[in-house]
Amino acid sequence: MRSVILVLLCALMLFADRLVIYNWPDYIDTEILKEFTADTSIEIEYKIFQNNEELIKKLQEDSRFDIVFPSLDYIGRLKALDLIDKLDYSKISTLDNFDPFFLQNPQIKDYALPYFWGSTSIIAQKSLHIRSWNDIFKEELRDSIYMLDDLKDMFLLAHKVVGTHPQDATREDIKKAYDKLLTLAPNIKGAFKDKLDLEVKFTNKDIKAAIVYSGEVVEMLEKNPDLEYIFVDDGAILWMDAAVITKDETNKEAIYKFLNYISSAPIASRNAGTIGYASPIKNIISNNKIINPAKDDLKNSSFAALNLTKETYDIYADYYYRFLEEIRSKKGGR
Amino acid sequence: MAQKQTIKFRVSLAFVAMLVVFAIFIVAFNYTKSAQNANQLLDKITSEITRSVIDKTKFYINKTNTNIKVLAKTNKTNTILENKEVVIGNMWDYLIAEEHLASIFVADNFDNFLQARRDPAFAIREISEVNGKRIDYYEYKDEEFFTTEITAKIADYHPSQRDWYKDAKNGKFAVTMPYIFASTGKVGITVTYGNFDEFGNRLSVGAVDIILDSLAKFLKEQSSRSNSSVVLYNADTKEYFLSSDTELNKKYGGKNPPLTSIEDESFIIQSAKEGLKEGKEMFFKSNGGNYVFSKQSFNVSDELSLTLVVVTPEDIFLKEINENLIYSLMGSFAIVVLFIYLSVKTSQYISRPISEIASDIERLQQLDLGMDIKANSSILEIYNAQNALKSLKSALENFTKYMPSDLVKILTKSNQEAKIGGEERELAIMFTDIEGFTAISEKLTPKELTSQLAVYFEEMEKIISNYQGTIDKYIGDAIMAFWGAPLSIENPPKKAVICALEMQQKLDELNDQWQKEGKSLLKTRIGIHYGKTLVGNIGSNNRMNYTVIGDSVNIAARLEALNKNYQTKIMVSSQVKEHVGDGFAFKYMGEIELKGKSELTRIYTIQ
Repeated sequence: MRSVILVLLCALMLFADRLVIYNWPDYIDTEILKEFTADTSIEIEYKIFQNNEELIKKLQEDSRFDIVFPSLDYIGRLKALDLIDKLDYSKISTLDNFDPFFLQNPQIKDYALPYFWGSTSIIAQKSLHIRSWNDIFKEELRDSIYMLDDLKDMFLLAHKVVGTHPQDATREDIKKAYDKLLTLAPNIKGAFKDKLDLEVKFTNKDIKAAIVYSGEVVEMLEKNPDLEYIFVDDGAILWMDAAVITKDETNKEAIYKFLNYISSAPIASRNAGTIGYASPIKNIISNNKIINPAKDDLKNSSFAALNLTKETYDIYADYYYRFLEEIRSKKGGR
Repeated sequence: MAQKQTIKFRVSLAFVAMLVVFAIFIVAFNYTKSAQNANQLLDKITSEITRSVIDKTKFYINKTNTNIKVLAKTNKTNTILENKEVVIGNMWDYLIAEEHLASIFVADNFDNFLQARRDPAFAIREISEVNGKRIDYYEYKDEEFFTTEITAKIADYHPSQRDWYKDAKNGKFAVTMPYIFASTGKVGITVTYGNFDEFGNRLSVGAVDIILDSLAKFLKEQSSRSNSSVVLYNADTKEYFLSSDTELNKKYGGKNPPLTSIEDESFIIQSAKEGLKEGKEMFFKSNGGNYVFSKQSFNVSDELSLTLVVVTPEDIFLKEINENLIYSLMGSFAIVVLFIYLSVKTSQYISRPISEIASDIERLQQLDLGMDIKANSSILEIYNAQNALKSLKSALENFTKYMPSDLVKILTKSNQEAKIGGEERELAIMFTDIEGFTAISEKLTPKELTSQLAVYFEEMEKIISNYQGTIDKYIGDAIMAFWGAPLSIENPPKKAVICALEMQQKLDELNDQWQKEGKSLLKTRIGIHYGKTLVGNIGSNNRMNYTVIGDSVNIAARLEALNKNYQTKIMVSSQVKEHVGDGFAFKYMGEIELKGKSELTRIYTIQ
């Protein structure tokens, strides 16, 4: 009797709607997940990755994922690796909710639905007077900076400083960017883990500055008046995370249900409010000037993305690994 | 006569006997003491195990009671979701702090459910109503409480309908019997606390799932020290709770096991636990071994009583004690062997002077006075004995000069005391006399006289002794000797005659010497008769002489005197001549009248 039920349950599971989603940590209001399940009876399996690299790796190993939320550069890589399908925008009933600017982004087009966007810049002690990316390369900041452990973030930064263009960087350009990164290595103490950890490090004076996503700093700045988030003169880097769908055919209906759900105005608004990042949905504007900065702050900023073809990715990956090695060796093998 | 043993043997035996008695005593004493100690130790160990298992069990099960009470009571409006974040935070802290918890959870009448769990992975579980539906929501966490995965589905679990919820008691801690946790296959129990309102309605229940692994491990540790079996039962010992055997725990968690189907040891427990009185310890013989049992009931909580049975085999110590006994015996044996050697040596040392004295005495008995007796022992009594022996030897030496040693030897050999008495024997009697001795003696000083006489007597004595003659006495310068007593000899007269001839010959030699030295010459006259004589101890009992009396003696004396008349040196009677035989130049000298004889006796001389 027991085994019969078990078999039936398994069968049921195969037919039962279930979505497997892969996203960044602390990147969705969990109540929304519950509500989605309650409203649609679709089960949710929501997994968490720490960075784009992990996302790619897991996607290559596990075929169960339905919706994943890569950054712009990695949409390109996923395309290159043939891991994602084009989005059928006709099925997105909430398309009009989006600010078209975001939809038109070359990385987004045809494949993705924008989710959150923000800036990558520097949070630092006001006393340091950091005003540009170059300032973090200074010797005074020896062993005092937290970086972002993300290939794209570090190379976008490097390209910016060196003056090369990420979207069509040649081998030599990439090398140039890498060489520049090497000079930053001595200043790197560690990498961003989560905002609580970052806050502690600042409070303990373990670090003086950090490369960070805009949404992570809001509460910290309220608590620490001696810190500031700087929209650097040479332009903070703008990033965007978006939803893409994998090549799995089975759950298409559930997938679009979910995509529509999270991009409906009330849900998206609540989500943005809870998570604290800027939404690509129209009329969801935060009062916070870091989340939704003034035009002036963004004057030299743009949505840049690395061109991650199969070859360029390997080059970038190799250089990034060596960059990390350089940092480790500077610390005596930490 | 009983066999005589040497001193050496006696002393050695005495020493060894003492030691053996002593060793036996020591070994026996040790053994009984050890056995006693072992029993006490068994007792003590059983008590210790019992106490520590009871304490540990209580502590283990009750450790988180306060926590679940707090959880159950955190709501004021009988829904546990009121302070969700706080509750979840607390549950997580409790779970991390207490490693023996599989999970900690709380539920209310609305089927809301909050749980922090460890197995199969760290997670927070929440069942609550969302948009009109009950959602079963999991957040999987890493050790630092970061979320690694989230799942959400329509809930089909109704905590308020589960036994653990319905059986929770008002304000009391209820404990289930052990069962197997579905998610991990481990054996554990659930402790619940019911939060009721004043009307007796259940509002919410807080609970923990406790894994019994660590407790089982503890029981195993306790049992391994002394090879004991440690088993926890429910109150009436009909249900098996936990034991030191992990396989058993898995097999029989919560069920009533047929203990006869397990190994003998458990069978012992089975048969013992029913017969045991509470807390009593007793010995129980089974399979040839003794066991110490202990049975003790105790309360774990308001709602749970358990019974602890501890069974310890006696031979865990007995084996050691018996081993020790064997070692003791072996050791003692080795010591005894060594001691035998030492005591032989010691007794040898003690007995040697005694043995020497004994052998010296033996030789004295033989009148063998040639040895030298030394008084050199450091032991006082031996020294005194040696001295006495030395004096005795001197005395004997002196005495033997005065008596025939043959006689004394005979007497000593036959263990006869010298008594008055004699016998009649045919003896040859000899008298000698120095011619004109008085005139000679006047010419010499006493010193010269005695020294010359000494030489004369010594030589004559030698010859007489050689011919087995017995010197009776010296009468001034005369010698009286006889042949044929105390020992019988062959042809006494012949010996006497040859002796006399040799005596004369010797005297001639001596005279030659003396002449050269300018000393006086001595001439001896000898008379020999052969006839019946009375020989024996003559005198009184206290003072006697071994001598001869009778006519023959007188005749011999007379014959000696007759030498003067006939100018001869040796004069013998016809009786002598008849017995001597040929080979001697007898010359007839005449006939004389002897007293008591009717006939005349012929006398002869020898040339």
